[in-house]
Amino acid sequence: MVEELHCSNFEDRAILYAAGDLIEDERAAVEAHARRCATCAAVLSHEISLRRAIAARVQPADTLDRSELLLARCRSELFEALDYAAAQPKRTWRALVTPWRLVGAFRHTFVFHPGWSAAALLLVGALAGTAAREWYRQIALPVPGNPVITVLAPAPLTEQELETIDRDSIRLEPQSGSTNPKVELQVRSPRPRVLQGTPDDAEIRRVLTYVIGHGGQFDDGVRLDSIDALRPKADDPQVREAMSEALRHDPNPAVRLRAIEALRGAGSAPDVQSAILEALSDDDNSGVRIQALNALLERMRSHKFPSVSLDNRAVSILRDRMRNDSNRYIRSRSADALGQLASMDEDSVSGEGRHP
Amino acid sequence: MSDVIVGSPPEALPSSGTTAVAPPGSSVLSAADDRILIERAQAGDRSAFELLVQRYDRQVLRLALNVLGSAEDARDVYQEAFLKIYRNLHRFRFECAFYTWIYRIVTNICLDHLRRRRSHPEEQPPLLRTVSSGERRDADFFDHQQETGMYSDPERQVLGHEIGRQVEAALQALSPRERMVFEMRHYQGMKLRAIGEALGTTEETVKNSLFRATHKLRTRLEGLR
Repeated sequence: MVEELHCSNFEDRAILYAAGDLIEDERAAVEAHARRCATCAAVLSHEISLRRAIAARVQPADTLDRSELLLARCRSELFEALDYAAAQPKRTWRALVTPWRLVGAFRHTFVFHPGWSAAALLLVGALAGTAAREWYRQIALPVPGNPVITVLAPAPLTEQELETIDRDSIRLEPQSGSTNPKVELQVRSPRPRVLQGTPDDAEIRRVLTYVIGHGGQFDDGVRLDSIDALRPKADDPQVREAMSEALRHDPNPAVRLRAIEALRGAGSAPDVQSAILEALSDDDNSGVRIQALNALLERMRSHKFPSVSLDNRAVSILRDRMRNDSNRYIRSRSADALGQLASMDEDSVSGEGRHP
Repeated sequence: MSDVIVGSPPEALPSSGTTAVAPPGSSVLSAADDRILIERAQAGDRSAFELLVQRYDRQVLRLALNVLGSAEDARDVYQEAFLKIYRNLHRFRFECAFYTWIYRIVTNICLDHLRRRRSHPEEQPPLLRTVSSGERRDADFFDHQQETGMYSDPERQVLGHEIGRQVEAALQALSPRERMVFEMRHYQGMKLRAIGEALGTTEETVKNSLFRATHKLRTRLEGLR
């Protein structure tokens, strides 16, 4: 049933009318009332203009992700996270009796029995102390026939040792308040030992660059974490070389994408530009080609790299992409880049004219 | 090198969004298709889940971008929402439409973000600026492209940008819930009942939120009259 319409309830109806939320009878009632009442007709007209203004707004989604690169990136990250979740061991009954869960279970009782609580804490402390002492003795004293050494300042690893490392041997843990993760590496043979450190340590950097360069030996997650860990060190020549190699040869496009992102902070070295150009020219994944193109343009425009200029090879690759790339975005953006290059050349020529 | 894992941008650029977008599931997707995919995903079929993601994630990201106005925040919302959906998919019992269930999760996360932002205004991203014709030199490539419709007329374009800027500023003044209702009604094209289902409230409450939001906007946009 259509509610009777008065001037007092017309305004809300006008809002629903403008939003298209009224059924036909209700719309007819609004229109009929507006024809009879000039004040309500003005209200209705105002609502309709407001609705038009709202519809005319350029939505942030159209500005922030018009090319849907963000969507592609979100998908890629989500599927990586799902891969990671799938690789984690499933919860078993053992998970139910972890110390934290036990503490949680007894907490309620402890609150109401402070005496018991104090006694229990003492007991837990004594047990922990005994256990820690025993554990320390085990790791501090080498057992004959099975020596285990913990070294905080790692000794150089041999090539043979590097080849024994696999995904289960390496652990990267983020550290609060630092961009450097803590890296722990277990070397099993020929001489078992544990290496700990951060990417600031040359030996740890060497291990991480080895991981990045050996796609077949480590899974995608470890390689991605290693790239992230090394990103702040991207201006190191060894790291730069490994990232460039990953960009050229890693089998997973997500790793190659991450390598491009890391190389964005790698300064203006020619080898970086060469790797980015190769990715733009040869990578079979359009997402990687797009990132390579974006990185190239960023380098070209950035004030940080005033020495970066595009040589004939780069120009010819851009031309080739503009004509032949299967992706419309790459074709358009390559054309745009060539246009910018031409205008930069003109600027430099006219600049030279002004300041001989 | 292996084939595509990371999705590439579509060949056709999405149109500039002055039109309200229909809710997911309303176009070529049928509820029956969804049901099959959901059942397969609930049985542990990862590829079925990925297909479901690809059906709905564009709208989810759009909603988050429009409401939060920040690519980083929208990325967080996207991740959090779909991981939550993945972990809780076994609890979905087909008692409502799948997109309603998804929107319930997404809107809750967006509302949390908006509320957090209100309580920490210093973390709020700058108001999204639309690009005027005088600023185009430094703008992104896509801002250089020729548009059809109102964007091909420079005068209307400038006017549209100005209106857009004022609407954007007015939207910032709404409460998180009003903002969400407004976005879902006007830019996602959802019906009041569907919005109510997504927000876990009645159609009447949604209507009242919409009225309040419209009143506030009208006051702030008085100059556009």
